[in-house]
Amino acid sequence: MVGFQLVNGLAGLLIVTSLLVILARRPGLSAKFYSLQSLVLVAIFIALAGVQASHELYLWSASAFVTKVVLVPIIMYRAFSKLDDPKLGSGEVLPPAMSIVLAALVVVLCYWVVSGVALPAAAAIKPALAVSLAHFFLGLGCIVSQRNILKQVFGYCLMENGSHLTLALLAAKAPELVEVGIATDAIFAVVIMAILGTRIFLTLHTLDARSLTTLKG
Amino acid sequence: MVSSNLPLLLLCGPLAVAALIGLCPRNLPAACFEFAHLASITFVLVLSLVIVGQVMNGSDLTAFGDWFVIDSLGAVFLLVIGVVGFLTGLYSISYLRHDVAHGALDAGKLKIYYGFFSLFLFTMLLAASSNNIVMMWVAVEATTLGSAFLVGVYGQRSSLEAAWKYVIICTVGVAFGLYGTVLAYSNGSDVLGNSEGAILWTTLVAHARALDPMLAKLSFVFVVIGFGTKAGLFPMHAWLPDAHSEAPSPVSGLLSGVLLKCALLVIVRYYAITVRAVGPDFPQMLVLILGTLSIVVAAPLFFIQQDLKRKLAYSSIEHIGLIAVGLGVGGPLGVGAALLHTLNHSLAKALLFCGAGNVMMKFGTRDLGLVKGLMRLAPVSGVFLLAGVLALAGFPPFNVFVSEFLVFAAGLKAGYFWLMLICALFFTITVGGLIQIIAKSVLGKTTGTVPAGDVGWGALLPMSILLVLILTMGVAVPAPVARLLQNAPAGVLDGPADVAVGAPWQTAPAADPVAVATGNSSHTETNP
Amino acid sequence: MTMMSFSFLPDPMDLLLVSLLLSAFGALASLLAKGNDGVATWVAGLPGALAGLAGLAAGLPALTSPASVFETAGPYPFAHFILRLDPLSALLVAVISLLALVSWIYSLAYVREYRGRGVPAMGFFMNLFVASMILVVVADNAFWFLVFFEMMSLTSYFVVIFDQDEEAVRAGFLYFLVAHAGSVLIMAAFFIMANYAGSYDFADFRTATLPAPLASLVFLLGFLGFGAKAGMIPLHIWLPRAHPAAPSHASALMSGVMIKIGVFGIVKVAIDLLGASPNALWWGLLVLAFGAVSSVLGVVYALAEHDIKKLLAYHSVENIGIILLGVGVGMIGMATGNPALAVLGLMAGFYHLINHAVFKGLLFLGAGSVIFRMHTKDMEKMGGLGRTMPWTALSFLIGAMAISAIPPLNGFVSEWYTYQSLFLAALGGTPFVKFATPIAAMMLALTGALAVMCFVKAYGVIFAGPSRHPDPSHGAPEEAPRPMLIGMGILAAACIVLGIAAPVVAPVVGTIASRTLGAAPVAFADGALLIPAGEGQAVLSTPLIAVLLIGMAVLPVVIKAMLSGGNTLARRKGEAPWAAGYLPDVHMSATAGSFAQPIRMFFGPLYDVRRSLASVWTGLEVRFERFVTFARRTEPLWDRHIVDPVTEGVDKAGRRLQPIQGGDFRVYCLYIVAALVVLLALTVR
Repeated sequence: MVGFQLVNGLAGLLIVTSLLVILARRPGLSAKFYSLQSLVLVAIFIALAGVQASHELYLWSASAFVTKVVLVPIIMYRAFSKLDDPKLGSGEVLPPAMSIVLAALVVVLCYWVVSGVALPAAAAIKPALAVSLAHFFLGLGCIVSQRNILKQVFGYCLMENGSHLTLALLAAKAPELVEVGIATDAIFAVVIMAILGTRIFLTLHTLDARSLTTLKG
Repeated sequence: MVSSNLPLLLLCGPLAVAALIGLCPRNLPAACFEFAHLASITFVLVLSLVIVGQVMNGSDLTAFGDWFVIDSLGAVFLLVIGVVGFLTGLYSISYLRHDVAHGALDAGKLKIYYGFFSLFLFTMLLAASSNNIVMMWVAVEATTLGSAFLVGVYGQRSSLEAAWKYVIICTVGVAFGLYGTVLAYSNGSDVLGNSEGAILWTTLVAHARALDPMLAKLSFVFVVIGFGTKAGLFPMHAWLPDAHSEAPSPVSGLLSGVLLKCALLVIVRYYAITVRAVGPDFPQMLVLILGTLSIVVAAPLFFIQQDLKRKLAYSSIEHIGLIAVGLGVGGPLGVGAALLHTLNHSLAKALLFCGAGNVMMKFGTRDLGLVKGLMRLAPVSGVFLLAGVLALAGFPPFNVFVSEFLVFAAGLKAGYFWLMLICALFFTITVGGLIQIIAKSVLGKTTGTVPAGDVGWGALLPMSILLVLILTMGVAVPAPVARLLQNAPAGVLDGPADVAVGAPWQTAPAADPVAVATGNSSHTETNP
Repeated sequence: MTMMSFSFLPDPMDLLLVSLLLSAFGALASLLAKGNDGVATWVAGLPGALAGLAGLAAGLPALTSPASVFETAGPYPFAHFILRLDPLSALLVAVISLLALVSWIYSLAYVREYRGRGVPAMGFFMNLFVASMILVVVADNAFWFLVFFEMMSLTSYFVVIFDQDEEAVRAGFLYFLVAHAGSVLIMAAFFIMANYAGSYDFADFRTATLPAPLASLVFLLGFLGFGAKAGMIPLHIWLPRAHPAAPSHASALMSGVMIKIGVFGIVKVAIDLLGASPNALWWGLLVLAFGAVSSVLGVVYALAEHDIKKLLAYHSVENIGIILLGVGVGMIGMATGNPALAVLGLMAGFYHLINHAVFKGLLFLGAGSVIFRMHTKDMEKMGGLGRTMPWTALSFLIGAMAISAIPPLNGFVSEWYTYQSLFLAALGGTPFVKFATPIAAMMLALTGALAVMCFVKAYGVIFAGPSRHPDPSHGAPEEAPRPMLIGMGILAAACIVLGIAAPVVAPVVGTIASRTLGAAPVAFADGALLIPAGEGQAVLSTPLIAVLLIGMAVLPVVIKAMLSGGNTLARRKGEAPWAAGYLPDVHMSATAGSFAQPIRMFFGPLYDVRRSLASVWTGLEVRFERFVTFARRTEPLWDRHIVDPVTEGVDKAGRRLQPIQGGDFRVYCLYIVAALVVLLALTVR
């Protein structure tokens, strides 16, 4: 059962890295932290693959390494480090300490929810499952609580990592082509968001989400 | 089940065109892009009609080792994609020419538009034909990505804002759908003991009775929330008015007429699983709640909206709500009525968005306060818009009347009297809003600042085809379509199809309605 | 029973189809004549008039013959296309066709007013309007009924908004919404019945037995839905706006026949379709109550009107009320197991239905002729038209006398039957019926008195006195063109015939009533005498009254003298009336406002007739004026409490809901989470 403990421990590390992504001041730094986080994710995949003897998961971790650790951070780093909106400041709605407390709360809540659900396949990895769910909601929290639209791209990426982990935990033996599809979607999503974000910055000269509220009613 | 290469061929066509256009240099003459675009939409139309024809004859098609399945249910949506995709695509050509000529669109954007149009078609076809549930999710997510640039193609402040909201809200929403998908998969793989089968929808449906009920319920909740976002159900609808109003009109028609329906198809697929796993009550309650809420909230918002395309967007939410109510009512009649309404609404909404496009071309604005007397300035466009509005309002002899009639009939048959009355009254509010469009914008006195004259035939041709289709579906559902609609609910529902009140698709395959209609009789009754 | 023989005519159903085809042809031909208004007038009008003739030829023989059915498979298996011509629908077909015939003849000249404003479209919509009305009454399948009902609303909507000015558009909007809301309720009623009947055919509805509460629900839905179409108070709000907005020949059709389809629908649902289900006494009482309120308030509101067409529209509300009184008594008779009462009440309602169609059509056409010449609807700006438009004046006078229920014209006969039915109901039945029917009779008496007052005013102000046209250089108007006079003449003759020939007509109407109820026929006439349902309590002979009136040759002259403002007896043409030595002044002549006071003096004898008929009139005179003033104050209340709250409510609801779409997509994301949480809570509860 060492393998499962490893998985659960690494999952905990994932939360820490995602907080780093959220709280980082500059988009470039966030991109680096994101790369770090994805590395942890890949490690989890490998650990899981070992535990569950899943041939597919090795392939997953390989493709995740290429896309999430390398490709996506590079795209974001190159796209976002040019964009800066000094008026926006940090763009945080909540103070960092509050964010950390809330993140802890989300983890606890998710743990409680997951423990209430009977999942025969995932009895041993419930903490990891809780973390994956929490990770997803942390990403959502990032989207909701940050005014900088680039942070919302990171929020999406965090959500994506969370759901990816869930997928790996619950559907470890799914065909690899499925994983390729999801990864492709993720990359395209990031590319499209990056392009749109850049166009918005060039047109509106701001990265403030609150300036994107003219369409209403 | 017949293995066939047609589904793959259908998917490859638009994808190849999209890639081809993507590789072309940006400054190619517009005609090149238009030609490629035309080839792509014609290809999709013809092939989807061929496939639908085969399915109508009773043979479901599979491809790529069951990863793609086109059954009667999928064929209904394939039909929508093929027909509405082709017609809005055809309309696009003259609409974009107008935009380029009037400087609203940079000629270089044509490449983006036509390329993504085909890509968008590809993603929707993927969603409608996929049998692999994760692939289904991937496809729906991909529709967002494929259409984001179409929504933001004008590059103005508002269109970029709409595109950004569209991407963020839909990716967030659809991400929930992935949880539903994963839950369904892990539930299925536990039951089946093998992981290969559990990823196929057909296998899950076949073994749905053995699924863990609680997980099946949770899975359905996530699916409804996730894909409901894409389908435009309240309260996940928020992206819809922005995206619909800011996109070029043909794209709005495509979003409203086809995209929402594709997301709906996924919900229907999971509905089929859940009905078998936990009985009909739970899934019906869920879609009934969301459907009713969509109608109740969208109707007043529709009524006071002054932006024509935003108005139409709210109407889409309302009609998606009605489709959901039809599903929520359940039974062969409810599901069949919902599917018929899917078809009918797609046609009517496509016509209306094209009509809104004509209004844009004539008046350069969507503000209903400024659009006056379209009928006098451009009589043909006026008649089309009038017909579209009346169709959407649910007046005979237009098609929406029939499907609304059937949804309400199904609801009352299932005992939802008050609910149906509430829905019907809220639809009356919508009718009020639609009549105001007629009274103020289609009719009414012209202001004199807009020159008279209709838009080109290139824009009117697809609209006239749409109108003919709407009238055909309103007067009598053609026998092949009726057969399709007769078979489709069987794939969704569990249990025998006992129907007390007949419905259009319940004709026996031999009894062609047209053939029956020719014999008439006149006789005298004796009365005291 | 059949005193009329139509054996020389083809089968009624064939004629009906011919009529429909002619209307369809007229509609298309009118559209094709786009660009030439003169041609369009004729190609719409002639087939329309022929369709009216064919419809009459189909409807009249079918009044007393067995029901005939035309059946063909519809486009959907549940929507059999069935047309059924039974006595009830034949009655409506005949009335619609008569009015259509007259309106089309009238339109040949009248439409000139609309040259260059879309005459072809008018011909198109009017023809379809007539056809859809006929189809509604003969449709024998719920699906098709709703289809044609909506078509009728839609086509008439386009006629109402024909002027496309702000007022017409608003009137049309209100009209359409009320009509559509009504059809939603009707649809609900039909759906409930269909669930029990197992099909959408009315034939199956008739035999289906619903449990009592559901039958009551169906009745209520149908009553409110059709009541909205009929224009009964408080669902009348659209009527005084929509009818005046339409061209006059269309108003004649809308007011004359379309609102009757509302009454038809109530009868159809309550008596015809729910015939096999248990019916409750309170249904009839409800109809009676709505009828009484509509009749009194309708006429009170009419009194205050200066707009001639609005005045007529309010009188439609009143007369719908009177018809509903008869129908209500019929339903009470049905519920209390008194077939004679049922037949009498229903017969009174049907008779008044026919009569109102005829005289209201006539009055609207008359108003149209005046407007055609004067180009205003404000009665205060008319006056003295009787001198230059004598035929119009005469027709209008006949219509006004008929609607005022002055014997021997038709309005009197049907009101007399209505009284008799109310009295008969008061004689027997439960205590509550005994209590309610005299009140209804009292209300009817009040209505009658006020109607007289109102039409004395209307006729006097329009046709008598000096011209009050604001522009003195405006020459005296010419008589209306011949087609318009012919149209009015036909209806005026019908008013007289339906009154004097009542001993012939009443049994036919009675047969229709008894056949609709499935009851045994009841005698309504004995030679030249009218008798109410065979009971020997009262007799009336309109031919006798006519003879008496003609014999008293002085009386008409006196009436004419009074009506034309007192300057006829020694008429000096072309000169101003003598005004006590002063120069005649416009302000001296009676206007709409100043007519209320001397009314009772002029019409004392008529009041006396009513008093003896109603026998409940004493002691109310003192409170009379106060009541009128009070009741009139309620008029804006309907707007304030029904129309405004609904439109404002929707508007407000929309504005309240708009913050949902506040623009911030981060909030939108939270909606998704909230929805998820709620649904999850629903799942695990």
